[in-house]
Amino acid sequence: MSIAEKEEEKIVPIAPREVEPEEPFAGEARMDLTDDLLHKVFSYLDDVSLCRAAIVCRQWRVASAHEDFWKILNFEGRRVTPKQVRNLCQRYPNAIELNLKCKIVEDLLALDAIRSLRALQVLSLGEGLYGDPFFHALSAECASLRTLSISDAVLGSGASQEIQIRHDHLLKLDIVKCRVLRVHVRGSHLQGLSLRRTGTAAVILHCPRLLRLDISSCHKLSDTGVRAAATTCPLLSELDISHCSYVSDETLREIAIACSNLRSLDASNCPNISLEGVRMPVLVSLTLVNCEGINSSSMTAISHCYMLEELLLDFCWLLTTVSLDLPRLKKISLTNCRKFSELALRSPALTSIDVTKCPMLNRIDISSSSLQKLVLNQQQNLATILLQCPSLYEVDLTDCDSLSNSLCEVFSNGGGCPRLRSLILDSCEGLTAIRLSSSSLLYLSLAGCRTVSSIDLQCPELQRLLLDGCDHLSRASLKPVGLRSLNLGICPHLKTLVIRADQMVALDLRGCGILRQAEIICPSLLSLDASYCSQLGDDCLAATSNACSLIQSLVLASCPSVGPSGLLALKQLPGLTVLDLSYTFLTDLSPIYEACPQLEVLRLSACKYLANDALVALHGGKLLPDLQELDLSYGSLDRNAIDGLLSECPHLKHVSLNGCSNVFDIEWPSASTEEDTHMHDADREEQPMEVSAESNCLSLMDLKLDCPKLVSLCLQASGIEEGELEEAIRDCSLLETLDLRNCPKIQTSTLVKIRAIRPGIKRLYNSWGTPG
Amino acid sequence: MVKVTLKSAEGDVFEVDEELALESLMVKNMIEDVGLDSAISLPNVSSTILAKVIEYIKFHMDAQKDGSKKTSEEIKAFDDDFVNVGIPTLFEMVLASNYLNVKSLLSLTCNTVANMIKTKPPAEVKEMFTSAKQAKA
Repeated sequence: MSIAEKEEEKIVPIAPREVEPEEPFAGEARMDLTDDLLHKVFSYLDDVSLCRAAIVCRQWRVASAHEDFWKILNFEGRRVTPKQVRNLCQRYPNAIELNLKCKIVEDLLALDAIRSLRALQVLSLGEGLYGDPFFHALSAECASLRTLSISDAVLGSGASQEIQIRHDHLLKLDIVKCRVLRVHVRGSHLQGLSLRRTGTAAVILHCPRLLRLDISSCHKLSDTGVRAAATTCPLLSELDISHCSYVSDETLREIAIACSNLRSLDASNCPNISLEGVRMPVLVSLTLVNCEGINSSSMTAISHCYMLEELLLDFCWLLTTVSLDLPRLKKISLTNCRKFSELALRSPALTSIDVTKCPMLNRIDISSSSLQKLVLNQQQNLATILLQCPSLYEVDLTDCDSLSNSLCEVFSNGGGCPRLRSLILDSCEGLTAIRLSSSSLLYLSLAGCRTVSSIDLQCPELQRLLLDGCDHLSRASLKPVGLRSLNLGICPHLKTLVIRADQMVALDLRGCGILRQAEIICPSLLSLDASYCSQLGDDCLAATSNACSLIQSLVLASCPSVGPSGLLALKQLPGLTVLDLSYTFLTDLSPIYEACPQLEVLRLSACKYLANDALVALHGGKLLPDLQELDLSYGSLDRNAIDGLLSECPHLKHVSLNGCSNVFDIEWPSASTEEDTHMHDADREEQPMEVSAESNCLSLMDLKLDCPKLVSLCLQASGIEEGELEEAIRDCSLLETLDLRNCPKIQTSTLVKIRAIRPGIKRLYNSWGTPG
Repeated sequence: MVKVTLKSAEGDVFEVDEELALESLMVKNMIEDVGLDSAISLPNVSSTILAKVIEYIKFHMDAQKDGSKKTSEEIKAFDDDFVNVGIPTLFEMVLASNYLNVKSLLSLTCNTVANMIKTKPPAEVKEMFTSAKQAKA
């Protein structure tokens, strides 16, 4: 529907001719709802919907035309004819608000409209030409008017372009973006006047009660014009003279004297003012954005604004130093001040500071008992920060490259931030040594601090520490900290570590290849991963075992410096159940049998030097009776050792034999429990078993299964032949999944035969196509 | 719990908790005037509509009780579903809620009618409401 149609619909129901008695539906019975109820329903509708409702029937038409719904006549942007406007205004004489911001309106129509509306309080006018007679009539005939708003109009007739508005009851007058040369306003009750963006050259005001004056962007208004306008309003509390480029300090001084109640001043974009000699003791809000004249000496004037709460000095590019002692200041903004270098504030009420994009900022000194959060990102020159902020809990100094190590003193105990909880120093590349002792700090982030080589934290409450990208960290002393887990494996240059954390349960040192000295005192530690810590020796292992007696899982993979004495020291870990010694040169397992009798999982992957008889002790479950999982993958044990293990250790549930080059055939009889087989994970859990004779056992030739409950068999990349396979699975009546991918000796024809033997197979994986 | 007996236009009797019945200001006034002894006759409300009104009040009373876990979404869903009826029934509910003086239900139903008018083009509004009226007649 076009706007025109909408308008039609809007006007139709309320035009008198439409309610003639010969309407086709005039004789119809009334609708089911009573008039009262219909009124209530219609009270939920806007004017367009009311017009829709009006066409339903006579009762609805009458109800929709009730003047309660037409208190506000809004023609803004509507395509209506002058006649329709006149009709409507006559129809609803009690309307209190009229908006005539539409193209067809000129002053005669507006006059007719307001003459019909005796109760009119709010009038809005848009594009059009309104001469002086119109304003005379307005003053004389529209006594109830409280708010008048005119925008984008041409005011004043003839060459004079002068208007006079005299209205004793008007409270608010807005003349925005209008063309007029002289404006004369006399309003004994007027409180708010805006002439924003109006090209007036002279403003004469007789408005003794004016509180708010906005003459921003009145480009033609001279310095004396501004002065004349403002100084005649003794009660003025808010003044906006932004973009009045001629305004001088002299005028501001006059205004300050004449308007002693001035609380809010916006003089942005006034290049000539420097506030010299200006005293505004009750000013609460001061906005001086992009004022070229504002420099450090202007601060003298500002320092006399004792009541100031908000100060905006953005884009003042000559400003270098701000040093203020304002007891009520809450908010200060100094963004994009190109030469600004030093900020000193002593303002107990301060809660917000914005100094972004001040590239020269070098020093910040803030005392505030209210400031809670301080964010200073990308301050490339910021070298000194002094804070006395007892409420501060969050500081973010990301990318402040000039900060030096002495910064840490500010955030340590006694440094002025006793409640600091979160400290972010990400990518501060000027920092080399972090030394913090804080009893309040919970969160510390040093991500991307690539130059930091040592950290020394005494933060007993610290819960989270981020060290990502601290590539050069070589010394870390964390005692005490409240961390529960920590990953130091991301710090490849770590040489010395001291950590005391009573809450710590998991510590990851994986990959700290040059870590030589580690003092780990974490009595709650459950899991320690020290894989690839090739320099860690027996002494360290012994000391750690002594201090962290609750460890359950210990990973020492690729720790070649660990020897028998270190392993014997594991005696002090009564709860140790998982031990990983993969990729070590271990030959003898007897220290483990002695020190860790309660092991459940033992990983010896790629322990190429393991003696063939090392596992004999396990036979029959006399040693390590709880052992369930044994990883011997990529080992070099010979066939007898493996056969012996499989036949003599029925308690093992998982045995991994991946990639064991000496495996040729496997025979795993079902032992006492219902179990099963095979190379790789021989899963002896209760019922259905899963077995995989996986990968890389190319030499596997012979497979004997006596596992009636086997459900899954994986023989990927094994060298088994067709006949052997058929034989092997003949008795596996429950087999559902068989994986034969990459088995070079298995042909497509084999798959057909297997299907015939074991029709119960649901998933048959092969290298020739989709699973069967 | 004291019970109140309500009698619909058809003469059907509905026995409800007093607490529930008092949500209707009209019934509340009647109880104050004539007491609880005799059934309260509601000749302007049909049995179907009275049952719906009782259902509505009951749901909202439960939803407002402490410990009710109903979210505002659930309540809104109930309301939406509750007024998802034909226009004749909807009008009857407007009338009944007005007669029984149940403020929240009156607002809900009036707002529903208003929304029907708002969301449809004028011709459809006319058709919808006049045909509903004819069907009724």
